[in-house]
Amino acid sequence: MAMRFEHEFTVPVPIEQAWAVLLDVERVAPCLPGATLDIFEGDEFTGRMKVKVGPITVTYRGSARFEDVDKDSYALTIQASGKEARGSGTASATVKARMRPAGEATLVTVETSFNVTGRPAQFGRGVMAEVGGRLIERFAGNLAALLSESTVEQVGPLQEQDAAPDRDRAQGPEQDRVQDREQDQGRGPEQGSAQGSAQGSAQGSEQGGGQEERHLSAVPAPEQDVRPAGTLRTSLSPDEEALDLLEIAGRPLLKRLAPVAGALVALLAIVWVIRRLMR
Amino acid sequence: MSVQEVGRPRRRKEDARLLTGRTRWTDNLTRPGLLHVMFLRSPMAHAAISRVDVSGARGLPGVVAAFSGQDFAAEQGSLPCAWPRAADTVIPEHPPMAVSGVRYVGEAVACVVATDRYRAADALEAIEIDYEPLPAVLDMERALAGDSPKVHETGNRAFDFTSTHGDVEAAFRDAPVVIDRTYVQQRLIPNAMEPRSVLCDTDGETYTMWSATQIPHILKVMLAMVTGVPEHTLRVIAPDVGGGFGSKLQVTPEEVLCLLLARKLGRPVKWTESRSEGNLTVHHGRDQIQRIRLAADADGRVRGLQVRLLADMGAYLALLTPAVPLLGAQMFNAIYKMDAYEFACTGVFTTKMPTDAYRGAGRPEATFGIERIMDELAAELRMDPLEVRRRNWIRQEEFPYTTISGLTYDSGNYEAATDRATALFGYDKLRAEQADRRDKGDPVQLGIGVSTYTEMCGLAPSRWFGSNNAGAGGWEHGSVRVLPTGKVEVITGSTPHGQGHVTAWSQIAADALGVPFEDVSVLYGDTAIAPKGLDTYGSRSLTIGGIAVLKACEKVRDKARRLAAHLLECSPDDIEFEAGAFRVRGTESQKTLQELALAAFTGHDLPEGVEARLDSDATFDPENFSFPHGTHLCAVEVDTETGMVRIRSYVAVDDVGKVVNPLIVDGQIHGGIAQGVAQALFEEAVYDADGNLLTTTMADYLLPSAADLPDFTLDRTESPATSNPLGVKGVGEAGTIASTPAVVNAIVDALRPYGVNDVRMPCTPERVWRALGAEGVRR
Amino acid sequence: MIPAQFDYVRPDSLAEACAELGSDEDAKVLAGGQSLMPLLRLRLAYPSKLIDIGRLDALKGVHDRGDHLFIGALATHDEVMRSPLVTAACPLLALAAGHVADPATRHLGTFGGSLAHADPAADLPAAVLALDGVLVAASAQGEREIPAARFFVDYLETSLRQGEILSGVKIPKLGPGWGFHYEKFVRTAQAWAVVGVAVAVKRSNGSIAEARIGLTNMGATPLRAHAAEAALRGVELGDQVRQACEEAAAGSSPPADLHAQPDYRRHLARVLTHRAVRAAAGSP
Repeated sequence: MAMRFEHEFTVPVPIEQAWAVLLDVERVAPCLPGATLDIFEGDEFTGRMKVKVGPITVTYRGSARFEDVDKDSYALTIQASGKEARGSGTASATVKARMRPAGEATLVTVETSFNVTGRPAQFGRGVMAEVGGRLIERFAGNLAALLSESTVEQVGPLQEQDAAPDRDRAQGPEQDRVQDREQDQGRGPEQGSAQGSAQGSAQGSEQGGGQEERHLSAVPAPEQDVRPAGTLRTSLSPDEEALDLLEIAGRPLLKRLAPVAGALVALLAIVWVIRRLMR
Repeated sequence: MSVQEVGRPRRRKEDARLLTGRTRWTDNLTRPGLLHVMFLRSPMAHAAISRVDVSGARGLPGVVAAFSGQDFAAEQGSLPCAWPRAADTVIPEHPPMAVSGVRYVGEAVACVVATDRYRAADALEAIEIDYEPLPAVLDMERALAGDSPKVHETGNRAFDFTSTHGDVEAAFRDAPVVIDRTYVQQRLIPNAMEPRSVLCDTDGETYTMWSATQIPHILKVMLAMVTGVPEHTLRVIAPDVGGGFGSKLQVTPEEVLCLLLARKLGRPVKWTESRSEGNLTVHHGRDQIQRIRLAADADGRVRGLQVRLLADMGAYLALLTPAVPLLGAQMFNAIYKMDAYEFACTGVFTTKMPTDAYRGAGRPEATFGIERIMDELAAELRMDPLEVRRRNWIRQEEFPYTTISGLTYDSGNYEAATDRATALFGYDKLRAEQADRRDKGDPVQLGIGVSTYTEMCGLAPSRWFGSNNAGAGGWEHGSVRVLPTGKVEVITGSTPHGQGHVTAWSQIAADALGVPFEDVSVLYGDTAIAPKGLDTYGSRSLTIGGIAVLKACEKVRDKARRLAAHLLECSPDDIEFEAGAFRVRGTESQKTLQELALAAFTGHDLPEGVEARLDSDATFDPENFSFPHGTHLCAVEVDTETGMVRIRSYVAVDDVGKVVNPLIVDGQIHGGIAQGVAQALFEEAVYDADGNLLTTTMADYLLPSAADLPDFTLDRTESPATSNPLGVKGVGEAGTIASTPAVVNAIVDALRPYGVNDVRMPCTPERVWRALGAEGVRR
Repeated sequence: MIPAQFDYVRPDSLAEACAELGSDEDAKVLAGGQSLMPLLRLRLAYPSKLIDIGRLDALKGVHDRGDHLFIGALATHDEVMRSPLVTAACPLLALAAGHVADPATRHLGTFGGSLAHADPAADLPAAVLALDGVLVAASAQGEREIPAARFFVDYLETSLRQGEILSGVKIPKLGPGWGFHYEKFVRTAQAWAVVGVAVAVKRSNGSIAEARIGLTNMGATPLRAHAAEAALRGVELGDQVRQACEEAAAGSSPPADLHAQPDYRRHLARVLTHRAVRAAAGSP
C-alpha cells in the first residue's frame, strides 16, 4: 500500500534559522508521535515507532539513512525502512524536505511517500488510512510548530515524570475549548474546497485525486517545551508514546483539516531519518 | 419394491449428522503427540529473499521446530501443473515454500511447529526475514509489454492458445452488424464453509494424510510424484469436507509441507488456515479480460464470433491453472449456430495468488461473454433479447448437433426451457411494467435479464483429456458389496464435499439391487477404502461416478442371477429379477438378494467361475460430455438515485436431464445462483497497486447471505442425456454459470435508456450510480 | 489468526474494573467482544489485559428515569431493539439497533461497547448523537457525564480517560410530536453502513419544527448534519424538504474505501437524509 503526502507550510522565521532547526535531531525527532530511538551506530540508526488508535496497535522497528543533504538548496532526502515488531509487515518511507526563503519567512515543503505491507495493509476499510493520515498530519503540524519557534536554545534536561501531569492539567480546559470551537465552526456550510484539497494531499494507491498542496497554519510554541536531551526518548512527552488522536483533536494548531483519503500507516520513518540527519 | 428411489425427493442421509455437529472435519481430528504448524507468509508481492533467520523462534516455549524454505529446498520439489493444454505452456518452478524469492502476498516463507497453535503463532513473530522488494506485476496488459518487470525469468507470458473454426474473416467481412465489447471477469475468492486443513501422521514408514480436499486420489499420486515419498506408503483421507467449489481441487503447498514436516519430525502435524489466511492463499478464480467481437446479419443471425482472452494465472501455474480459461475454448459459441468462431487466449503471470478452478471453471466466464454480447446484439437491432436467441440457437429437432467448436450436443430443448421460464416469470407483464416506468421517469427502473446457457459438463471422456494434454483421464470407479446380511455397501471414487453422494448413490443402488434405501451405506474419501477414483469436480460425480456405481450394481445383479440359477437349478436366462428377489420365471421359486448374499458369503455351494462374496466393481468412462442447459430470467429494480440494485424476481428453468434427487438438484441450483449473483453484485478480490490483497476479511470481501437474495422460482425441463444409462447431466455448476449474466444483463437493461451498455462487475451501487452520470438522476 | 497472549480478569464490581483499567494503560475492556475480538484475532491489537465486565449487573438493562431512559452499557443490541421502554420513548435507538450486523452479533454485542469503540461506521453512535444522549463514564473518581457531541473525538477515539468505563447512556425523552427513522445503506445485509442516517423530526402544523440528524460513516466520527437541520427548520413538508436535505453532507469528510468514494458518500447522505426525514415525518 503506497501513499504520498505533500505538506507545505510557511514558518515565520528566516531560512537559515529554520534549516538549523531541521538539522537538529534532538528537536525534530520529537515531532513524530510514538517514536523511540534505540541505537546509533556509525551511519546506522535504529528506532521504534508505536502507532495506536483505539484498540489498534502497530509497532515498527527500523533504521534510516540519508540519500543526500544539500545545504545550498536547503534540501534533504531520507530513506527509511522498518518492520513490524510483531508480525511480518514492513514499512518504508522516502522523505524529501525542501526550504525556500519567503521574505522574512520560510516556505517548507515536505514530501513523504511510503509503503506499508503486511496485515495493516490488507484491509479495504480505511483503518490504516485513518491512522497513517493522522500520523503524518501530526508530524507535519509539530514540525511546523517547531520550525516556527523563535528560539533554539530552550533545550534542556527533561523531567519526564512531571511532564505528563503538568501537561494534562494545562491542556484540559484548552481541549474543551477547542472541541467547542470545532463544533461551532467546523460544521457550517459545505466546505467543498477544503475537502477537495484534503483528499488531494494524500494519494492512495487506488484512489484518484490530484496532489494538491495542503497549507497548515504555522503554530505558536507548545505550552511546555518538553525536549529530551541525551535520552533516547524522542516523543514530546510520555503520553505521546503512541499517537493519541484525542490530543490531536485537542490542539488548535494541529486541528485536523480533514481525514486523509487513502493514506496509510507508515509514518515512523521520518523521525529516524531526521534524527540521523542531525548526527 | 414398489417405489422407485431414483427421482424421489429424499432428504439427505448426511444432514442429521452434519447439522448436529457430529462431524469429522479435519481440524476436529487429533492424534497422540500432535504438533501444530503455522506458516509465515510474505507481506511482499514480489521480492528477493536475502535473509531468513528462524533461530529466534526455535528457542521459544512450546516450539518444536522452525524452518525456512532453504530447509526444504532439497526435498520439496515443485508443485504440479497437471494440465498444460497449450503446447507452448511455460511451467515455472513452484516451490511449496519460497526459497530465494516471493511472487505474491501470502506465499509461505517459513513455518513454526509447536505444541499448540498459540505458541506457533507467537513464534512466527520471532522469525526475521529480509526482503529486497521487486516491482509488482499486476495489470495483465502491462505485464505483456516488453518493458514490464518479469514475474519469472522466462517472462510474463504463460502460453498462447488459439483455435479457429470456419472462415472468421469471411464472417466479419461485410457483416451488417459487428459488436465489439470488452468485459472484465473480476478475480474471485472461493469461500467454502470449512477452511482448508491438513493433518499428516507417520509411523516411520508410512504416511497418512487427512485433508479438506476434493481430490484425495489425485493428491496421493501427486504427493508421491512431488516429494518422492513412495506412493504405496501414502494414504490420503478426505473426511467430512465442508464445501470446495474448486478451491479444494488443488495440491497445496501446505499439504506437501505437512507431509515433509511429518517426515522430518516423525510426529503428526496439523495446519488449519484462518479465514483471512484463506483469502490470501486459497487459489482464486476467474480474472480474465475478454475482448469479444460478434458479426451478425441485420435479422440478428450470428455469422461469426471472435474471442480474445487475457487470463491471469497469478504467480505460478497450480494444478489446473492454465486449463481453466481454455475450457472456454469450446463454450463461447454456447447454444448458438454460427459460421465461424475464433478463440485466442494468452495466459499471463502476475504477482498475485494463482488462479484455478472455481465453480464452473472457464465456463461461467465464457457464458457471461456470449450471453452479454447477445444482449448487446439485441439492443443494437432493437430486438427482444429472447428473440435474438431464438433465431440463433440450435433447434430442438436439430439434436444431436455438432457445434462450430466441435462438440456434439447430444440432447436439449431450448425452446421448452425458455417457454416455461417466460411463463413463470411473467415476461410480457414485466416488459410492460418496464415500459411504464421508463415513460414515467420512475426513479426506480426495472431491468430484465436473460441467460440461455449450456455447459460442457461431466468432465470425463479420458480420450478427450488425453488429446488435450491433460495429465489424467476422467473415468470414475465404483464398487458394491452385498454383505452377508443383505445390507449393501457402496464404495465410490468420487469424493463428496457437500453434494449428497451418500443419498443419491443409495437411491441408485436401492433401485438397481431392489433393497431399501436405508439398507445402503456409501464409503468414500479414503484411498485405503476407496482406492480407485478421480474425485469430485466439474459436475461429474453423478454423470460418471454415479454411473460407475450403477454399473457395479448391474454386475452384482448378474452374479446374483448366476448364483440364483445355480441354487434354483435353472438357467440364468430363466431368472427374473424383481423387488430384490431372483425368481424362476413363471414359478414361486426364488432366492432373495439376502439369501444369495449369505450363500455367496459361506461359499458352500458356488457355481463354476463364481467367486465368494456378492460384490463387484466397475469403471465408467463416457464417450461424450453431458450438456445441461436452461433459461434463467432475472428482474432487477435499480434505484437510480443511489445505484442500488435489488433483485425482484428470479426464475430458473434448468434441464439437467434425468433427476435422481430433486431436493439435491434444487439445492445445487439455489447455491449456484447465489454464487453467480455474488459475482454479479458483491464479490471482488482487490489488490492495491503494490500487490497487497485488500479483501482479506469478510468486511471487505462481501459474501451475500439469504437476506440479500430473493426467493428463486425453480422448474425443470427434461431432455435425457444419451451418453449415460441414467440420462443424467450434472447440476453442480449450472446455477453459477447461468446467473451471473442474467443479473448483469438485467442491470444493463434497466440502464439502457440512460446510454449505458455495460457495468463492470461487481455491479456495486457506486458503479451503477457512476454509470448513470456523476450526479445520478434526480427526479 | 490467533490472538497474542493477554491476561484476563473478570472483576466483580465496577469499582474494581475501573481500578484494573486505571492501573494498566494497555488493558482493554471486554464487553460483548464483537469489535475487539476480531482485532485480537487479526493481531491488530495487543492488549496486556482484558477486563471482562460482562457480569457487572450494574451496567445491564434499560431503566426509566422519568425525563430520560438510562440504557446500561451492557444492554445488548437485541435488548435495545426489543425493549418496550426504548420503543416507546426513543424508538430511533431500537431502529438503529435492529440494523446492527446480524442476529448473532446483536445478541452478543453491547450498546456501550459499540459507543466506546466509536467506529464511525457503526449504527448506534449516530443515533445517540442525534438524540443528544449523555454518556456516563465511571471511574475511581466517580461518575462523569459526557454529552454525545463531545464523546466521539476521532476515529475509534472517545473522550473517555484512562481508568474510565462507560457505564451507560442517558437518552432524553423527546415527548409527543416526534417521528424517527434510521436509513442504512449497505451492500449486504450484515455489512457495515456505507452511509447511515439517523433522524428525529418534530412535526408541527404540516411543517418541520425541528430535525436532528446523525450521520454514520461520513467522517472519522459520527456527525450531526447541522446545516441540514438548520435548513429543515420550519420547512413545510413537501418538495422543499429535498432541497433542505441537500445540506446533509455539509461539513462532513467521508472516507474512501473499497465500498465508496467520498463524493458518492456525500451524494448518498443527501438522498438518504431526504428519505429518512420523510419517513420520520410520516410524509409520503
